[in-house]
Amino acid sequence: MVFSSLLFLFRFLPCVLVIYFIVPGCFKNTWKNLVLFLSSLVFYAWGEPVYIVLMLFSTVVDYINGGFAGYFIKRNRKNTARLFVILSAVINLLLLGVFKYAGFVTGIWNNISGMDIKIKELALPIGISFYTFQTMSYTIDVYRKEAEPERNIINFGAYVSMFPQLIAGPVVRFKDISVMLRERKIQADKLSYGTIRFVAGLGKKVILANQAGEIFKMIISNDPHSLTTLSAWFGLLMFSFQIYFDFSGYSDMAIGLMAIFGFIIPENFNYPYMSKSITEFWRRWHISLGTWFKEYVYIPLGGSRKKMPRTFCNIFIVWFLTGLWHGASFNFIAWGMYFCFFLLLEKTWLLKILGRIPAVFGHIYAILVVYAGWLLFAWEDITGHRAFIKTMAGMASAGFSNRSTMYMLVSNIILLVILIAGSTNIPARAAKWICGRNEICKSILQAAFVAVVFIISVSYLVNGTYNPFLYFRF
Amino acid sequence: MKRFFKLLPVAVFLFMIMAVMSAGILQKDKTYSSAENRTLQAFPKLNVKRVLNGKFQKKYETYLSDQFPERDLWVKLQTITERAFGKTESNGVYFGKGGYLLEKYTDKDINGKTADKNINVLGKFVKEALKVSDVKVMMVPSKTFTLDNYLPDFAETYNENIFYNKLEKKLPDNVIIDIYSILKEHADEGIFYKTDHHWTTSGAWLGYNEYIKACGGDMENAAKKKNFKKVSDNFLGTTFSKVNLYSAKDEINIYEPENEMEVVYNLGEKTENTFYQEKFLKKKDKYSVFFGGNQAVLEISGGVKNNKTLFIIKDSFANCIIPFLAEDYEKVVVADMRHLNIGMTMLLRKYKPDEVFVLYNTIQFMQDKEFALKL
Repeated sequence: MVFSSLLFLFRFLPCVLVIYFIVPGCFKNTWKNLVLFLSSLVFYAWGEPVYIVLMLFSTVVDYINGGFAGYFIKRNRKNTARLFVILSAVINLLLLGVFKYAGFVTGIWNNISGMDIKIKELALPIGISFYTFQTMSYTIDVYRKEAEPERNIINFGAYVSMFPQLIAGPVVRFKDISVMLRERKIQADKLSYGTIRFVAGLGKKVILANQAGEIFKMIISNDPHSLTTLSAWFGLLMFSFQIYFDFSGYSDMAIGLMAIFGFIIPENFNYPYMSKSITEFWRRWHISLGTWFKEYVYIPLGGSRKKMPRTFCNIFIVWFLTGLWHGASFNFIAWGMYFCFFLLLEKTWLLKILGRIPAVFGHIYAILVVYAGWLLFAWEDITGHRAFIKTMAGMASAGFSNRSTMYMLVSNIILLVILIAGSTNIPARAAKWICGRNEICKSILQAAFVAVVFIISVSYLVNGTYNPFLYFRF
Repeated sequence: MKRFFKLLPVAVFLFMIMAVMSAGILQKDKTYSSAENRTLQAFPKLNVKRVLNGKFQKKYETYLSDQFPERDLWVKLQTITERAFGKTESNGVYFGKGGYLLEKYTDKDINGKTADKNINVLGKFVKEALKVSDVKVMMVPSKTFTLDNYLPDFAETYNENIFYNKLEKKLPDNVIIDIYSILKEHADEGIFYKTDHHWTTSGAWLGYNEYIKACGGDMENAAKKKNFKKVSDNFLGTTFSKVNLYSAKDEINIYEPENEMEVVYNLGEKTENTFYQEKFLKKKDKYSVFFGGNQAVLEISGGVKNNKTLFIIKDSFANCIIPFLAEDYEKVVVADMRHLNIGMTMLLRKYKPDEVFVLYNTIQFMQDKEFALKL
């Protein structure tokens, strides 16, 4: 199930909300957590009922591993505890390996060895990249004494399967949420914040990301020979906006829903397209993943505390893995390496220079690097890619621009302005400017925002399947 | 009080999701959508097997969307939003200037093979028919191509000249009647409906005059027939149905012949003494006021006693030109191949016409998959 569906908005969510708020919060929220756990299982099973087994397996295995790790660490038997951390990591990575990377790895192996091993392609279980990372963080946090092991399997199950962030994150580390699982209150502030956040995310996804995505899809589905240079640039721009609004919109919805249920979880995006360097970009883009790799890979490897070559090597490993995490394909690895290159460049000398020159140059540099990076991200196969890059470089048989390019630009100019403004903090500042400190004005504005954005989003969702078949075509 | 306002956005949100859900559950399921002209998904069959393989879930989501409360209203709202975003097209229709809704035709809509095949077959047919009758072919250009000055800025449509050039090569001389230039000249005179893809009676009158000119007929008499009667001023046609958004309504005008004529429908199915079926003016499909829509065969008599028979092979664009032609021949036979199962040669042998007039809309001709099979 996805949030941006009529099913979620008008069946699943209302039912879950009603049950969740009726069920009492006694026994340290166990009953409420049970509601979350069970509804998450329904949410997960809706599309692929079979994979629910996987989710339950993951839950039970990590519950046991974390429990043992906690038991031994309390008795100061660090080595035994470490065994369970390793076991947990191995099982989770195996799950990820089998379901996400098996086809990719055998493909490489067949290429090198000349053999022809065929494996059955499994459908990627939804959210597996996210929940395996979450469960790994649990055992590690327990081992590091940064969190208490969770005795109650219902609470733990709710953490692993939590439907708001199950499909596309944010990756919530156990230590960020362990206390809230037991002690959290439903407050008017959180409810209202969560609702606004959810609706804003829905609008970002349904109204903005989908429209940008449609334009991108239309442009790349055109015959490469009729593609003009300008439309290729515009197309990649639309992809940049699609991926940002899609992903950050989803994160907004997740953060919003979590707040409605009483959880405050860390931010995942912070206006990444306003960055002045790539280092800054990665502090603003998919923050929870960056934090995860930093906490559980980069720092354990020694981080930047050791000598330069070792630091470089650590950065390289982290970015190789970051790239690979995004998908089992070479282009994602290349994408990770591409950012690794710029990060190292910035670490050695570029950042110092960027700090001295006017900020506008930093913005331009960062935007261009990120924009070109999407060129690696958007295509999994290289063939269609080459023609597109050639066209962007000005070697287009259709020329720089033509009538249909102009038509596309003119009819999407308003969308473009909204997309640009929406990637910055301008809307937030405008809202503040309108109401100042007047709380009532703020609430009315927020309510109007919720109503308008929600209704328009729903109209896009309903129309997504509108299929007129005319009665008199002749 | 402050708390109340704080919770206002939450209340608004909860009200919306709860209200829509309740409306969806309480309302009776519909089986058919008249706006979309298709059957709607009913509640899917529920059993363990169908849930485990996900079939139930998929069908259930279609069901929800098909049975969504006030579905047409939501769709309309989306179109309005798109227009506010500056989009000048929706569902393959351009919102043109002056209230014109113009269908968008791209290269993808035109199957080159079908068009070429139809041209070849038509070429052969014309050569064969010329042995016994006079033959004229008129391809009415699409509204979008003719009224391209009404298109939104930079908007494009299929270039029909490609088709006309091909047609010219395959057909003998003096057969094609070029109607594009004359229509273009009169583009601002309401020759096409704003909300429908057909030409209006004024457009058809221009076509009629060109035909008479090409056949060397009485031009003065033809010019005199420009006195129309308005029968409707609230016509919303096919193009409108595609976007379903408010737009200016069209007038329908008709030409009434001076003398009473006799129309025999479909080889004796029924006989009437008018071209117009006014009951359609009360329905959505108002263009069907002309002969009640497309009929397989019409035989019209009562025109001038000149012992001449005109045979028209046509699509819906001819429906409004026939009334002009009917008076000028002793007999007019109209055949719509899309509704016929008899070969055209058979019919020609039966009626032995003096003149054969092939009249199609260019786009419909290019897209007609059965033309080559039936001619």
